[in-house]
Order: sequence, then structure tokens, then C-alpha cells
Amino acid sequence: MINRPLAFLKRDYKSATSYRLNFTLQICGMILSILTFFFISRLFDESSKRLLKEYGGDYFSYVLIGIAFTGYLGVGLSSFSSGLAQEQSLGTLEAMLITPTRLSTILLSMSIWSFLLTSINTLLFLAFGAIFLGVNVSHINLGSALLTQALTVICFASLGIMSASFIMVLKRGDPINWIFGGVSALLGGVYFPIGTLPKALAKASSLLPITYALRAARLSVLQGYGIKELKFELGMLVGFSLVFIPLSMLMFRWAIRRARIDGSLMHY
Amino acid sequence: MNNLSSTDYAIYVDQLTKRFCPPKGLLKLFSHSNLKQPVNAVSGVDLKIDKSELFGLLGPNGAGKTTLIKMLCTLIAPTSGTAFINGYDVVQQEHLVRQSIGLVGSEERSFYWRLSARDNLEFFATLYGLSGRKMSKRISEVIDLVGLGDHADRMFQTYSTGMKQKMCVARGLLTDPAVLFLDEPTRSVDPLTAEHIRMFIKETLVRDHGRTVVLTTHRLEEAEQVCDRIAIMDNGRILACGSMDELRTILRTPCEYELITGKVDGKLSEQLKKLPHADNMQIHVDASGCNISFVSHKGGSALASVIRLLTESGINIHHCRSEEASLERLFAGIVKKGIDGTND
Repeated sequence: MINRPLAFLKRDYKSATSYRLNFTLQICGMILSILTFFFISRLFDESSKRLLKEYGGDYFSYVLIGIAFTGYLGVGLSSFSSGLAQEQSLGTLEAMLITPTRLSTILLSMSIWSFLLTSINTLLFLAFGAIFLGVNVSHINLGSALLTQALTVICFASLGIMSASFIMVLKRGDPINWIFGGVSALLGGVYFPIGTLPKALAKASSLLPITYALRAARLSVLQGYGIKELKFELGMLVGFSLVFIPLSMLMFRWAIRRARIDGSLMHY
Repeated sequence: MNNLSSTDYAIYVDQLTKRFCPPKGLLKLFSHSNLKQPVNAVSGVDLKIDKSELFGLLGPNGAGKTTLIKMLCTLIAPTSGTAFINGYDVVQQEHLVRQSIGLVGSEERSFYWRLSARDNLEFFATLYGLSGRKMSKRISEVIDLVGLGDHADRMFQTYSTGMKQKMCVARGLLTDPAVLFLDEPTRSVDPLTAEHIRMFIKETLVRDHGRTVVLTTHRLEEAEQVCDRIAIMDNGRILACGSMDELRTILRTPCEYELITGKVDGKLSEQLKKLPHADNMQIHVDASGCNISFVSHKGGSALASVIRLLTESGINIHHCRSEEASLERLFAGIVKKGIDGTND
């Protein structure tokens, strides 16, 4: 059962590490982006930090966790569809689909490496911020932080499977990625608190899972909130997951059936 | 439990049809499909392929061979009809079908170029459900079988075209499947390697291991050389199916005969030209003797008449040669007949 996901992980690790310079540059790029936000955070004076009070008042800590956790949204939304597209263009998808391994296993296993890499990135982000740039993570509640992370992955992965369903049938362009990818960065509170938005937009942000994921992540890492204190945010993430998981499975099953009927399973 | 007739065969196909239709509704607005009219890629195909049979599938481009193979491999859903592989329904039991088949495609790119051949095979073997020592042993076996033993740990991207094709064959053999679909396995390899692969298919896979092989090829002489039976496909239909002899009989293609004899005089020449079933009689007389050639749809009986007349007239026969219609001629004839039939 575990052999198949491990085989994907091994394949992706070997492939990624064979491009050593790219791997190194990714790490350097990550550090540069952290430093950029670190210096931007110096522009904020005390009065502008009012909206950040509940997260500890420090903009850099706020945005660092925002960027780190938004990585899950990005990888969740894109890894399934881009994984499928990559296998189609490599010509390896047909060879995989001819095996007795279920397509759902193939699809989920394909994205493990991306999620693992994002988790490592998140850890490195937090570690770099804490060690070199003074981010205080000493209050972290590990239990609620890990639960937040797990629910975030499940929620965003379901969106990603919906996105892959569109790609499977339409090949290019999917509304899920466009809606959740584009709107989440603006309304989800990645770079600035939702309180800075006009009321209507702030209300719209409550429809996005990233809003609850980021709030729970920040409060558990920076303020040490436990599961009980985050029950609303975590409950919302569970609610989103309960809707998204079956919906994504239904959509994906329909997309596969459609692609088999069209004969377009291997087209890209 | 499937019906008996389907389990008696390695492949049992009954009225299998694939009709591609243009998208409807919202899909019509956003779909990538350029289809304006429904297209019948495969129409009412019937096939019964025995266990341990080497079956050839021939046809011009766009004949429907690939669609047929992909339906049998569960990659495309049939519109109607049924198909069983190793007794399993390709629609209802696709998981079991995939455990019974191997597909050797002609797509030599279908590997991970930054990984070694062994790593690639390990990855696909895991997807086939192999693991541990059994997997390592099987990988070593198939690598040796296709002659890549010395290069197994080289990155795939450093392989030549022929070596990549061999890797396709190696992957198809990983699970030692009951039914193996080979889609032009010798397309990009040199003649020596092609011969090696052909012999490997015929002798090792089919004769020694009793595997059923469906070979799609454009090389007519290849099908003629190795296949037990051949189906010729065009416009989504099987136009003819049988052994080479059966195909010749179906088409009643003429056999060409050539005899080198002693001198034949004018009177005998006239008698020869009047013989029934010996058409297009050509008689060339020179100083050393005579060259007689003719064609016949009646095979041996026309030749017997010619020989009898010559011997009764006291003419020595120095040499006699017959040439049966090649698969290339049969193929052209069957496709032409199919087109004419369609037009009718």
C-alpha cells in the first residue's frame, strides 16, 4: 500500500536532486523573499500595527507565516493538475495508467513530493525567521499548529483535485485555480490583515478556506492558541473539507470517465 | 462468472465499437475537441484470439488499430460491444484486465530521462505491485532479456533510440503478463536488433512462455514472418482475418508461375495459351530453350495442366518456380476491396 507513494517520492527526489543548481537556487530565492519582507516590515510604525495586535503586533512575523502557509494553497491547487500535465507531456501517463494502480493513488502520490517540499520550506521559513530575524515562535502550540497544517493540506488538496478534473477534460485553464489562487492572495490575509479591507471584501474573505487556515496558523504559532481556542477556525476548515473532499472525488471520477469516453486521457 | 466463450480465449471481442462524438452543452464552448461530426473509429469489431497466439494487427494510418488496442487496454471506453481479456471484461473488470496485460508502446520518450534504466523499471514495477527481492530479480531478468545488462545504471537520457525501444519492451515484460500488446516494437531499431526482438517475441514469449501477443506493425514482412494470424483493418473495421494462407484464399489472389523448358514450337505455344485457368501466358523462346510464365487463381491444377501438356509433347522441364502473393499485395488488395465495398 505504502510502496506506491514511496516509489513516487523516490522518483521525484532523484529527479529533483539531479538538478543540483536549481535546488540550491530555490533555497536562495526563498531567503531573498524573506529578507524583502523583513525590510518592508521596518516601514510599519506603531499605529499601523493596531490591526496586527491579536497576532503579536509584528508585521514580519505575520507575513512570514502568511507566505509559509500560502505555499500549501499554491501546491495544493497546482500540484495535481501540473503533475498530470507533466506526465502527459513526458508520455509516462499512459505507461502508468496501464498498470493495476488506481488513478486516484497515482494522482495523490504524484503530489507527495511537492507537499513535502512545501512543508520543508515552511519549516525553513520559520527557522530562518526565528534564528536570524527575531521572529518569536517560543509560544508555538505544536498540536494545534500541526492540526491546522493537516486540515490546510486536506482542504487545498481537495481544491487541487477539482482543478485537476478541469485540466483532465479541458486540458488548459481551470476556474478553480483562477478563483482560489487569484482571490485568496488578495482577500485571504496573506500579506495584510483582513481588517484593512472594505467591509464587503472582508465578508467575501470569510468564504475562503485560506482565511481560516492562516488565522489558525498565526495564532497557534505566534500566540500559542490551542485546539479549543481555535475551534471556530479549525471547525470551518473541517467544514470546507467535508464539502470539498466528496465534491473533488465526484468531479475527478466524472472527469476520468469523460476523458475515457473522449479518448483524451493522454491528450494535453 | 463470464460466459464460457469469452473465457476460452485470451482475447474475445464482440461487436466492439467506438464512436467519438462532438462535445455538447457547456463542454462545446470550452472543450479542446475539434470534432464537428461523430466519427466511428472502430465499428463492430469481432475478434477471437487464442491463448499463446501471436496475432498481427495491420492497417494504414487512421485505420482504428490504436483505438482498438487502447480500448482493450482500458484506456478508452467503448461505445458499445464487449471485450474480454483473459476472461475479464474491459469495462466492468478493468483492474483485473490491467493485471493481465502489458503494453509496449512505440513512444520511446515514456520514461524519466534523469533516472537510470533500473530506477525507471523499479518505479513502474512498483506500480505493477512488485516489491522487494522479487522485484529486483525480475528487473534484472528483463534487463538481461533485452540485452541492456551492461547499461542498466546509466541515465535514460544517454540511451540510443534502439536502447530506449528495448526499455519499452523490458517494461512491458515486468509482470510476465498473460497478454502483451506490442505497438510497433521494432519501429526505431536497426535491422539486427529488430530481428532479435522478433525472434524474442516468437520464440521466447510465445513458444517458450505461452504468452498471447498482439503485434501492431506497419512492417508487412514482419507480420508475415512471425504472426500466426493477421487481421487487416481499415476505416475502423476488420476487413480480413486469418492465417496468410487463409487470407490468400479469401482474396483468391493469383499465384505466379515460371518454367524454364526445352524449345517449344508454335503449335504447342498455342495449345498452352488455350489451357483453362492459366492466364497471361507468356512464352519467350531463345537459342537455349524457352521461358514460360503465367498466373493462375486455381493454384496447382493449372500448373499440373501445363506440366502434363509439356511432358506429353516431350519437352524437358529444367526449372519450375511459383511465387505466392506477398502480404504487401494482399494488404493492398484487401484495403482496396474494403474501400470498394464501402463505396458500393
